[in-house]
Amino acid sequence: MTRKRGLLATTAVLAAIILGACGSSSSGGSQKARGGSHTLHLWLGGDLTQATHGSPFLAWVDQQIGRFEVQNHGWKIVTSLLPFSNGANAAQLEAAFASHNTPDLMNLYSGQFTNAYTKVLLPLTSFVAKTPGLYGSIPESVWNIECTKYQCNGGKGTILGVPWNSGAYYLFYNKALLAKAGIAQPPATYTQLFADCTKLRAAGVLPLSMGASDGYDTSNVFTSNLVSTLGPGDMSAILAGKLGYDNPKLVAALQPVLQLTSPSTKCTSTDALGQDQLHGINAFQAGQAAMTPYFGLQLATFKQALGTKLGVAPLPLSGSGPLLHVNNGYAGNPFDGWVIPKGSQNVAMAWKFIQIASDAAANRTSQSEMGLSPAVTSVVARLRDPLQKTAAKLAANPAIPELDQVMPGTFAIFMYKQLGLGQEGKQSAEQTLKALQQYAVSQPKQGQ
Amino acid sequence: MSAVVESDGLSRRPPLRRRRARRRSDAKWAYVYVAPAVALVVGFIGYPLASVIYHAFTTWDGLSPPVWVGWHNFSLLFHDPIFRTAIRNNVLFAISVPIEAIGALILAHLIHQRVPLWRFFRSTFFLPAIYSTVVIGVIISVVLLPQGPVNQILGHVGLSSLRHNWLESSGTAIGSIILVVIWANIGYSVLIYLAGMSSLDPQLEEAARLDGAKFWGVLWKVHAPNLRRVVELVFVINTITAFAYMLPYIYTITQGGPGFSTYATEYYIYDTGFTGQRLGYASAIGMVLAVIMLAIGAIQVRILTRGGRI
Repeated sequence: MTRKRGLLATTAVLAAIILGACGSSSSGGSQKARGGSHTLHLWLGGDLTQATHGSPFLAWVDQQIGRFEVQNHGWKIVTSLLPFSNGANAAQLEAAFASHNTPDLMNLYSGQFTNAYTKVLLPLTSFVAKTPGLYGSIPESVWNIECTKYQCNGGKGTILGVPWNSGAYYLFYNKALLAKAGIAQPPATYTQLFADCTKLRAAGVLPLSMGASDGYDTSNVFTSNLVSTLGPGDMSAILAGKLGYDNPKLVAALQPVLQLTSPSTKCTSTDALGQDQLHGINAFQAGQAAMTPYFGLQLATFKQALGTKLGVAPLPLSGSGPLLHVNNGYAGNPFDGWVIPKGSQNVAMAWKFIQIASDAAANRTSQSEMGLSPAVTSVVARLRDPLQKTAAKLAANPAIPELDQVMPGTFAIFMYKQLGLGQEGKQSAEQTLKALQQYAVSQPKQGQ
Repeated sequence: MSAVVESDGLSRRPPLRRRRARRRSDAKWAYVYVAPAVALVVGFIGYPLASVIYHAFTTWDGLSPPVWVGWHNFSLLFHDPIFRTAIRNNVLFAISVPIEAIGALILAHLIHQRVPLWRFFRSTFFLPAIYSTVVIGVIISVVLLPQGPVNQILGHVGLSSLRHNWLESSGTAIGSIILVVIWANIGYSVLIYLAGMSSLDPQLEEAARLDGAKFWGVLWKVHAPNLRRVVELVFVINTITAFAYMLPYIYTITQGGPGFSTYATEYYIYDTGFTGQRLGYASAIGMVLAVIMLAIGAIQVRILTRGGRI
């Protein structure tokens, strides 16, 4: 009897030990894989969270991996997709960094999405400095978003990521539908836009399709308009807390944007109020709306849907501020950058991959296959397709970055929600930005 | 004192000293047997709980060491308008609890009384309970779109004036979520009640009917009083759901919007901790939520068990 009990007890204890060992071995599995063979572990965040089977994003990633593996015999790259949702993405990154279980390199959204992890990312300044021509091939205004405090200081600042694209928000338009209303050119100002909305409605055409519910469309259109109301240094002052979010310059930029969904302008249908950014483009893509604001990565899809009827232009502006004459006078920034976590086991090889995946060839194919405009100046200059060229020139060497790309993440999330309320007509531009400012001052300072 | 030992081969109680030694040995083995379970409880409940309590008094972004700030997080919390909105919403969700508990009791009684098609109703009431809450949330977010089936049907039956942007209006968004939660969880409560009713002595009902009790009389005078403990269980479970299991619904249906109007406390914990990288503050919210739930649970049990009345 005692022997039986002893056996049972021993079995129970062994089971507990095995359970515990299983838990620790599964969390350390990727470490074992990394240590044992020539394998680089790459996590795909940012725009590359869309690199699913059959997608142009995965095709592009596979191309870069293929180039790396040819140049580095015996090395393999294993990829993992990060979640598309920003919240889930952040949760996974938090867990990875906190448990010191990080991959060899990652692609992350630029700006505050990278700066949030300053403490756990390897500074790449010396790597960039030792790579001839790399820093000079991309405009400083694009590099800045990949640096701490968004200042690269000619390559001497702390570089956290290497950008491989530069994007902006554009006004896509349907030439045929505009022509139906007797409109020869897309609107350059909000005054023209509201007038065009009236003409298009009279011609039986939905003027603008956009999503108002989640605040993302509003945020991008608003921050694109900031280039026409802010002055030099204002963006830095906003981020430093020296210029309030409720400053009249920002209110002036938001006011016309909120009118887009107002019944008085008739620019959008009531569907816009219930749609998010992703679904807001549906009516345009279906050839039912004359215009839509969106990112350049939808260019190829729009082209497929609309063919030669598709046009791309800068978003309308409401002001005539001095930033319109700085750099290319538009708002934009790199969307993505390659980063190396401090815990990377293969830093040298990770850097080799980054060099390949951010060179001119990678930039060229990123434009042609994914619609992400290149960061490399020489690639922009050689683009032939007029639509791609227009989009790329607007995004290359921007005057200011998109505000939500550089402000603290929690501020951006709060801002999206307030902008969503404003776009639905529940509060004015002043109220929206006042709420944001009140939120900003109530939060603990977040380091950049 | 020496034990008396018979020599006739028949077993007798062993001497006292040997019995004590055996009890000590049994106790040792008992500890060994429960050790794995205790280890699991300590590892997966005790340690995380202690960690949350500790981190509630720190500022921590998950990447660098936590910094002790004392009661700072709690003082921020009580002035946080988003937290107040979240708690208010949890209270609104809790309003659904009596509706669910009593509604489920009535439905269970109907099924127990074998109304026509009772088998069909039993299955359909329980159907939502077998679906994942995420699946329910995704389906509802499509069904309640402005151009979704609900508005389409209202249009087709001549009720176009009732068509509404259900999830984009603060007033109707919360109401929609409450209705969804009631629909998703009522089947489970019905099942619990049915199990309770099945365990009751059928003679109680017979006796009541002989005394002239009709359908509702049997429910309120026979089943309900005898299912007091079951009712208490249903109330407690649904209250816990209202305060601590709303995240999947909110995440999939409204993401806390429009604005922050449908934030619930645990959604705020997730948002603050992971999206906002403020794990210390999120821990403080978690602690406050736990205290609120303990208090509500204690009050509920006290009220429900007092004097045997529901």
